[in-house]
Amino acid sequence: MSIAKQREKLFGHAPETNFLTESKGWASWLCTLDHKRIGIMYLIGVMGAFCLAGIFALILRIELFTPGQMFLGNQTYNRMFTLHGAIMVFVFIIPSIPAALGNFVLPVMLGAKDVAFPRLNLASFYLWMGGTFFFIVSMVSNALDTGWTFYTPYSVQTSTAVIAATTGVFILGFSSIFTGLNFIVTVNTMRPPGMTWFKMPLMLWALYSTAIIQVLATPVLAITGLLLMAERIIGLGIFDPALGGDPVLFQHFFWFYSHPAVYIMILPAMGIISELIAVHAQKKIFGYDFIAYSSIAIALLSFLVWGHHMFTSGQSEMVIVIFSALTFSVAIPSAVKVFNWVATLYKGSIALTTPMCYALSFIFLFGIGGLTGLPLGTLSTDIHLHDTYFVVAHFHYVMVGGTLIAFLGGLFHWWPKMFGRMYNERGGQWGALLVFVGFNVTFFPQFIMGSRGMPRRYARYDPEYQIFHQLSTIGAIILGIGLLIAGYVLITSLYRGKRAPGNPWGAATLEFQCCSPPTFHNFEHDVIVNDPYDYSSIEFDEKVDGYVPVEPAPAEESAPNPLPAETT
Amino acid sequence: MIQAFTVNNMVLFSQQREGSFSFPEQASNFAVSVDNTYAAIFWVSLLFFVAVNGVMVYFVAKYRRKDGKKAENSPSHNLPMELAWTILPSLILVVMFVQGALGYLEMRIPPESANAVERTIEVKAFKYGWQFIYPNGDITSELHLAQNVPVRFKISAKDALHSFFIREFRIKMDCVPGRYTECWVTPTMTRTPSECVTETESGEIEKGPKEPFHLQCAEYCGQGHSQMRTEWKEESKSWAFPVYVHDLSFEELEVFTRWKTGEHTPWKNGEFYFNAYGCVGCHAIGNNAQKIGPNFQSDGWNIGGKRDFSNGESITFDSESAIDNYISESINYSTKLVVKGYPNQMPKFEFDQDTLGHLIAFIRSPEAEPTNTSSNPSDSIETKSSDATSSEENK
Repeated sequence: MSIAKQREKLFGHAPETNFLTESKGWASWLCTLDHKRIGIMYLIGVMGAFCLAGIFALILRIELFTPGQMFLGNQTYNRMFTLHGAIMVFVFIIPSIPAALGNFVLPVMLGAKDVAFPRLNLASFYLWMGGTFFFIVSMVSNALDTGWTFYTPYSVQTSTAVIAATTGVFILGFSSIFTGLNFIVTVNTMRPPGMTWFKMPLMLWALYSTAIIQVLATPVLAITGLLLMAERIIGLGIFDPALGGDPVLFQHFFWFYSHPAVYIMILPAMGIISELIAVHAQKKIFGYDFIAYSSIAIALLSFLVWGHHMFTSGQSEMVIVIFSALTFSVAIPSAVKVFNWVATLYKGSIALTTPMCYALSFIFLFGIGGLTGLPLGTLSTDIHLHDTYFVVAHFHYVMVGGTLIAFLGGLFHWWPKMFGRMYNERGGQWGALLVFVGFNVTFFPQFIMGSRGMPRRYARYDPEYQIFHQLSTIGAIILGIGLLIAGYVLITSLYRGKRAPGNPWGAATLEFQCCSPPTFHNFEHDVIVNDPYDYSSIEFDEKVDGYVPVEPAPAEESAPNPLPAETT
Repeated sequence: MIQAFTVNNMVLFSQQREGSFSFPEQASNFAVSVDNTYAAIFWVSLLFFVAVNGVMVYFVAKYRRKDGKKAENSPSHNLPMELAWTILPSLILVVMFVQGALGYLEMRIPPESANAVERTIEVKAFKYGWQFIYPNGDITSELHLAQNVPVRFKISAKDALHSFFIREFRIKMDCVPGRYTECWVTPTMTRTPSECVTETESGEIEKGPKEPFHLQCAEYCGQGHSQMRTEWKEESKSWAFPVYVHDLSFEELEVFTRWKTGEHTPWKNGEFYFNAYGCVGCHAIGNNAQKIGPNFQSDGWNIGGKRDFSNGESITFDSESAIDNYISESINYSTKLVVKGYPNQMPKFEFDQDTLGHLIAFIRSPEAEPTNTSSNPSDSIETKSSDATSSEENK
């Protein structure tokens, strides 16, 4: 097929049906095996969870406006911060990028019809629903108050719904494992001819690394949850010293999963940023190999640093010093990625589209999040900062300033692809700006009150910290408004947005070779595997209001058209 | 309190000072080195942050897409540069690691003098309070230390995890049920009760110009987590869990001399234990604001009185000894009888009969010491002020 024909087919006029309109009715969604529909169902689900946990966060912040009690009693406060953390981590952040965006994007980026195991994929979604159901049960019955970490022996003693919540975590864990397994197999076996490992988009490297962690680490969490349940139900003494157990053992088990889980959250975010920076600057990504290798390095090193969550737990000094050293080693690959992203901007053609605004704020916020990890990895300073608001601010800068911002950036980037509609760019930018400002006003003061000694998880606090808490609360409200605007912009685009072209941003990855939204089988033709970051053969075409491949000088050229071997 | 801090925080190598924008006062041998390490990391980080973001903003401004201008060509990798920005930060991180580890090892290894039994203070954390057991066996809920005397804390917890955190000392160590942990410190700055509690001319007790050093529980432990901290209690006009440092030798500290059980009535001893063992953290007296556990009041203990338990059972007091036994069981077997409507959170205390007897004497008449055999409570206003002064003497 000639390029010209393909061009017409791809970008000229939309095909008659796409994956959204291909079949109708509830059943066609609930029983779908289409990775795109599963991705969208995941998206709706995780956004629901995000709204719920976000409302909890706002209520907490408003309560903290004054040092004494305003409207939440101690117990209600504890339950609310527990559910905020647990829902955000287990139900929202962990599945957000891999399961919602990744499910949609990964097969299309590979030029494939679907993931390797579509049924497993659907099962993963239903497991997510099941796990979330148990979380909701634990919320409405006798709301959990252990903190999202379930530390023993408190989690053995409390009368709240620990069993329901750990069951939820257990099931959600399997959902996560299924997704991870699916992605590993898909990337290994379904890459199109010509796409070698080092010609994969960096998003795929990131999702692949994430999937490795999901498959290897999550079973430990599942076992830990089971042991905790066994301890509560049949009094098996594992963690509770009253039964002869060891509470610190629980912390080891828990963080052996939950530290790698931090990278389940941030690695795919880094993958998104690699895409966004390159596409919206129309510039080949700088240092592809280093970014790709650093994803794998982070995935492997993430298994070796869990002990840094336990620097004050009474572990031996030797162990603590070793964990501190290993912790510093994770800082390097993260820093390398940031340097590479900034270097990519050099001599680019930078468009401040909404996704790019999020990508740039990611670099800023992740910079703060990463650098404030240094005094936490440094032992003598960590002893003071441990379990204070400094830590709270640090991980919110990484998880919200990093993962959530990247998730939003990715959502705005792939939204036209998902729904075939362009959103209001100006509205999107305003949303991004407010999110950025609100986020900083919320969390920056928390660093200062943390280093001044404000412990975390306090329902009441010393009046000395009030000014910082008040700033933080005001910031949270701004952040909330920013997110509402972002949501409004996206939702209204579905009704009022103009039709999206196949390639609105000038991306060279394969998902922008199919039409927007993609058809049921994604591609109507064999994909042409190019360098994912070579933008020289793509140009803007006013007729379709999007980007199309440049017509090469010799009109007839056979597809597929793999790259010359020396380009990596 | 905020104005008490000076804003000259960003001095890289400072002497001990009153506290800064980022840190509380430096009141221990560790504080200066911790703060300086933090400051060094802060400046290095700021340098990197400004450099990276400065370059980013510059690139965004300079290479902004205008009039459809295309990206220019430039190399997409540069091995020497990439190796440089991988290796150079690594070297800086090595320095940070070493500095942090050395400072930490100093915190972990107590000097010989602090290791001695007579310099070891036992810290017991429980839901929701602190107990300090001194080498002479005295137990209090206040931490009294001597300036420039290294002490070792032998730390444990009765029920759940807690964490022993004194922000002015920059020390923190988890309190783990079932095992002992330890840390040590040499306080370098004094802070005496007379600076923190003052008496006005009219004889009223008020919060003083300074605050004691702050002890705070840093590991979430449940409902009363945020009350396990140094805090001014307006209702009792006293500091809960204060940390004081005296300009005295360790042996001269008041805790070694201030209370001798044989010299007081059982009720007075009971009041002392009630405060020292932290009962006061969860049980309010009289009709005061509700705390985590049931309130205690004199007219709550009558023959014919009834208690409902959360397991559906109940008890009706049919004799004086039934009341005494009920209180005794509730203390020593705290999880057995939980009053309906209250959480099952009381830690287990194992008191000997003497201590228990004194506590019962106090709990049965907590508002005032019974003056004679008729249990007619005396004028409550008068006793309140006498309570306050007597607890002042205790300090």
